[in-house]
Amino acid sequence: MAMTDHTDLILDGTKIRWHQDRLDAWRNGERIAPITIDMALTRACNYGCHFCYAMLQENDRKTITGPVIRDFLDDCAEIGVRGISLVSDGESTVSPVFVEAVQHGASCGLSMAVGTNAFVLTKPKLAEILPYLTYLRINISAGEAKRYGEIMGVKERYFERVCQNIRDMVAFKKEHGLSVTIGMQMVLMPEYADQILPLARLGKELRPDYLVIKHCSDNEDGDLGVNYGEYADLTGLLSEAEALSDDEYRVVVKWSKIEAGDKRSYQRCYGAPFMLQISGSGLIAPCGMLFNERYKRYHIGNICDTRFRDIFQSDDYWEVMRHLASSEFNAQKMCGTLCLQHKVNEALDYHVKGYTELSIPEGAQPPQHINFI
Amino acid sequence: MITLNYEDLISQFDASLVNNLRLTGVKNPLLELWVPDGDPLRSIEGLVHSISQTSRDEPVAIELPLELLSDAQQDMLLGKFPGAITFEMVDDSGPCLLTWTPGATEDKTLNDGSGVMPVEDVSALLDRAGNLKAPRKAVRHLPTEYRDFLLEQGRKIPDETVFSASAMPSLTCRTGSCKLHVLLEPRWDGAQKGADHPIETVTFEGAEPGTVEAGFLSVLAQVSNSLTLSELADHGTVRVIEFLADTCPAVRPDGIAASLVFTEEMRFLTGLLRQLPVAPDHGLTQPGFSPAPAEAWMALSQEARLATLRQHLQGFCDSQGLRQEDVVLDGLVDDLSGWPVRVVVTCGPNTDPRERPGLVRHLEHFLKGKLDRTLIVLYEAAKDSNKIRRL
Repeated sequence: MAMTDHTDLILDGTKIRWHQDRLDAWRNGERIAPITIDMALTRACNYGCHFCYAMLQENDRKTITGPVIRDFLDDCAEIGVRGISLVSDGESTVSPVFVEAVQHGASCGLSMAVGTNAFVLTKPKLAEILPYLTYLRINISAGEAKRYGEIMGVKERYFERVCQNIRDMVAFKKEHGLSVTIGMQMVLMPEYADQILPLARLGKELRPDYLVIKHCSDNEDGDLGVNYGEYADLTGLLSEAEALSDDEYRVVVKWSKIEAGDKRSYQRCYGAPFMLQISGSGLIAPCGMLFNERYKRYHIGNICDTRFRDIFQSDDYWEVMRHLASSEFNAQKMCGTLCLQHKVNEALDYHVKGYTELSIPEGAQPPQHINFI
Repeated sequence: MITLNYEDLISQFDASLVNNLRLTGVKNPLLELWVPDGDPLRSIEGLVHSISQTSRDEPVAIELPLELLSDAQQDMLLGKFPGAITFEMVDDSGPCLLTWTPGATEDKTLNDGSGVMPVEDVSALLDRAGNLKAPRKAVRHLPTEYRDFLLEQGRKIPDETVFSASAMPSLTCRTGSCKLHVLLEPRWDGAQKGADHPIETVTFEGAEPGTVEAGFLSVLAQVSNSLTLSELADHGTVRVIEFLADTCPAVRPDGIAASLVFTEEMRFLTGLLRQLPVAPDHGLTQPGFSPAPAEAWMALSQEARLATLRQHLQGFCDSQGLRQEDVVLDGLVDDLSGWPVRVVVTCGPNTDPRERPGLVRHLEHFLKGKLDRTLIVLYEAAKDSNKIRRL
């Protein structure tokens, strides 16, 4: 199915308003299941990206095995989780349970998605996963082989392999009329500015559905050294990249996050109960920025040790969630920049403060990827 | 001939997943595309595929455990790589030797003329993918007690209406007959300063004594001390809810207490507070509300603070039946505002790793109650020691 057959693809916003039943339950003070879980199947990665936030997320190393992931996905379906994105702090495609996780999750009725460097996603593996996926997003932060090797921390020749894999997945999708959305994503550090246009042009040649360009997150102490003040100088290049969009290929800049820089309008985190994150070690923390051992007070449990359905119902889980939503917590001081839950948090915060109703606009059609809020 | 042992490769890969978090994988260029799989057929197919994609001119033999692949599975692989691979028994007890020969034929997993998998194979996959179960509905828990409690609470709270002193700068919000007066600290010099201005007092009038509205306004007046105007506007209602939830567990919902802001009773309060002159996005341009530590804490020297923390840590361990070495103070460091409120601890080896997060949470509650509400407890950070890291 071509992208033009779909309704809107929201890449710079939140779809939480499309889950009114879950919002109602939350408003009633119920223990709601997450709509979306962002997780990895391993903390390992076959790449060594310069910008990788995972270097800040070190925690106890455990292995998510086949039985663990099957139980977890069964539990997700049972309690009402709707979408699982295999992204988070590791490269899930290098886990031996990757294919099984995608297929089993889909068989449980969960929407499944993958964020990946796509290096090992050659044709045989693509054929096993693409029919089960809502979206597949390739992390690719350069449009030229030499810079790709430098930024992604691998051999330059990996670039051509990944490009070929993208060509293959686009062809596979077209050949079989799949609904999966194929996207490319650039994590933009200001020093990668020279790759904005080459990558946008590469995308135009490879023909994924979209290329999204986003800021790079940093922790609250700024250990990655992202200079948010320099993003403003890239506006012209980013606009030029967007202009390369056509009917079947969109270049989307996450302007809202790039323009916000490292600022948040809110202090309390209401988004975590709707959108949970799990480390590739099986650790459950409300947010990937809290995976490091340093933030142990936010660690809730580990799916390698305990069934997820039990963790979800535990007092520890809800004690941590309540803390995030309380006056004891201040996201402006205690969190890294512009987290995964940022847009959800922003929407819920405005809602709690009485500025918005978070209702569905009359006559509006549901967006794509609705279960990935 | 290159010879590989499958079980060794699996062991190397599994170890790499845990021990080499970056540039993970078996250190062999032939295998850079290979990921082992729980399904042995998929795993071996991926292995041969990786070799076929990366090897140039040398045959590769792979020693497989005798029982790994059934005859039928071997036949399937032979069909996918026709002419390129052979299976042979080394002896009766194994291993089975899979040999790949370069250039013998095309990889059938890759090419069917169209550049993608055979349509019939994909159709079967699509059938499986399309025949999915609908998600099961979540179990719901409905709170039942808090509404009655709020009504009761409203009746018991006496009317504490205090009228504002007209000489002080104040803002008034009104809903029906209820008026909320927010008295700002006298040093305020005009509306332009707005959001971060400290509040002197909050008072109200016009609420019927004994009603829910009067009760909520009374609590709001209590919790508003030392807040800023923006904090009152943003979180006044939530702070009332938190106060009630802390005071009476029956009020506390199963989920997030702040969600009670959507009850009809609380909408009344939010409606009043929304009238305060605070922009929705003021947090992007002005520092948010962030109370400083108490003067008593700030007045201490760093050595005195550490000594105080050690003393209370001992008290905590005693109260929890822990030994002194079970929770160790590593330091006290500044937060982003430069306040010495980040208490760093580690747990001793005799503590259960699964219990440590709860232990740290309990400790934080303990220290907040005993010393200062702004204290937070961090655990010793785990460093990523990979040499390719920049940190």
